[in-house]
Amino acid sequence: MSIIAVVVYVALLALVVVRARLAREFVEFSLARRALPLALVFGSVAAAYVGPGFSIGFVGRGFKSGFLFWGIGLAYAVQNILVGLLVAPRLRKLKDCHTLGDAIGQKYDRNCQILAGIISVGLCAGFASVMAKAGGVVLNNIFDLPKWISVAIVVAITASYTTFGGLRTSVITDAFQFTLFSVLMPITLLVAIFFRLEGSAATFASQAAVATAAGLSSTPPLHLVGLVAAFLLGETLIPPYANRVLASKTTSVSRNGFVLAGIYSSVWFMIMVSLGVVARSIIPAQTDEDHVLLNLVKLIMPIWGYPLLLVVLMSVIMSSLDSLLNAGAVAFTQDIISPFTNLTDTAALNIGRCATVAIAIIAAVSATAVPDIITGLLICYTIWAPAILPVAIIGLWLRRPRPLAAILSMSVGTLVAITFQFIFPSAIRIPAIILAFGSALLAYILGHWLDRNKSGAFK
Amino acid sequence: MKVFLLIFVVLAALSVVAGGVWVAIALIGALSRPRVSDTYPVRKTTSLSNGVNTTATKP
Repeated sequence: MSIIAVVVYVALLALVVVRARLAREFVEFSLARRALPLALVFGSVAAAYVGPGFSIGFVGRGFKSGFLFWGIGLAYAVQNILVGLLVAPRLRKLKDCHTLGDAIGQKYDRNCQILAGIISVGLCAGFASVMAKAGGVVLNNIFDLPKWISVAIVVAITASYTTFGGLRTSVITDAFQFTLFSVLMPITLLVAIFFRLEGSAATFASQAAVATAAGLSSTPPLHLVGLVAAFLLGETLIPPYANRVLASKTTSVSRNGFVLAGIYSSVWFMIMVSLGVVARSIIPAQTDEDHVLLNLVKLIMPIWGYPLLLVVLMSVIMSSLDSLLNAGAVAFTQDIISPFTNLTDTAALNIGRCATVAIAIIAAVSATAVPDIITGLLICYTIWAPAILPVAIIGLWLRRPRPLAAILSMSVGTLVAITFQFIFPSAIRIPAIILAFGSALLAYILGHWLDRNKSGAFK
Repeated sequence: MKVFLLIFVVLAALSVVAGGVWVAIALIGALSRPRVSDTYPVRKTTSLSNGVNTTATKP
């Protein structure tokens, strides 16, 4: 049954890929010709952010701490809405921009673009390895294959359609996958509440109250602040989202797509956390967080339900992985190679394709080093937010942003994040993301002031 | 209170389903739209044959 479900899913995906067709030019590979309509921008942004963390992870957190994590998840929704209202239209307005690094290059200078490109490619590879690991776990659950073969299969399927189709295929397959999981997951919740939960509403409400109170009492305030900061800043404008802003048909499509995706995320988190709350009355309390969703569905759904869920999880993971592979490849071509040489369109397209394969291989190999899904994601958030956000957002708003400010901010943000995340994790009490973000902001202000004084205050 | 919470969760579930259906309709529209190359000429070459100016269209 599981095998049939997966085969049917892969066949449907192949059909969508074939219809979506091959990218023939770099602008098609990187920006889908800047012609994405609202529904596809919204669907693909939502499919890109709903990865294993926002599905399996949130159900597990709902199981342990009830609606506490829904409150934390709201920070993510706010971030998406703010990006839609304040940043996306300004970014979309820039001409001849393929990546966020390109935007930084236009606002500051070429060196800043290259540094932003290196950080973007590294982060895309890091995020991709977390997705590859999660995909391997799910496939291993279905076929019982060795873990490295499971990872290799997931990465190979995703890389194959991303390599040839580029962003357009990634967006269209994302919309297909979004449709699958946004219909099937809520149905699972409704089945659980109305047919499997004894006492229905009363049980649900009492479990929600008990779990949320337990979650609040067991989470220290400082840890709570760190989580809210990570959700508010960690995924802001990461390369796949920036590419979707730039690929939108108009500025208003980019704005509305992100605002809708933000609203959707708050509703989605509610569904996931509710599934976790429902699970409290159905599965044993000592169940591991990452296995709550899988065990719940095994118990409550009919015999065909479990393979269907596994297929949904595969789509959740692959839709995030394809976006990361494409964004990393485009950043490599546009921000790291293109500034050094005048590339023809064909050469850029070929480099983009090779980079997709290379990042996929790096992700598959390093997937074994990822500790667990949520920790892996938090590490990536901790580096991305301080390294890029101050530079990108302030640069879009200032009339004359200074290159020295950008270089200082990106370097200091990255170094402080790496130092306190990996080298001395226990040296500070506050979360590393907050310290690194604060340092990057200070470095930006210092760089701006020094550069302004150097070149004359009224220049 | 309990009933309100349940209604809230059910409405949330239905909104997510509605979002999925909306994107599915857009996806079907995007995939079934005629391809640019099927509808419009992508390259035009003008040639002079027998003194008559003709425009050949290559799909």
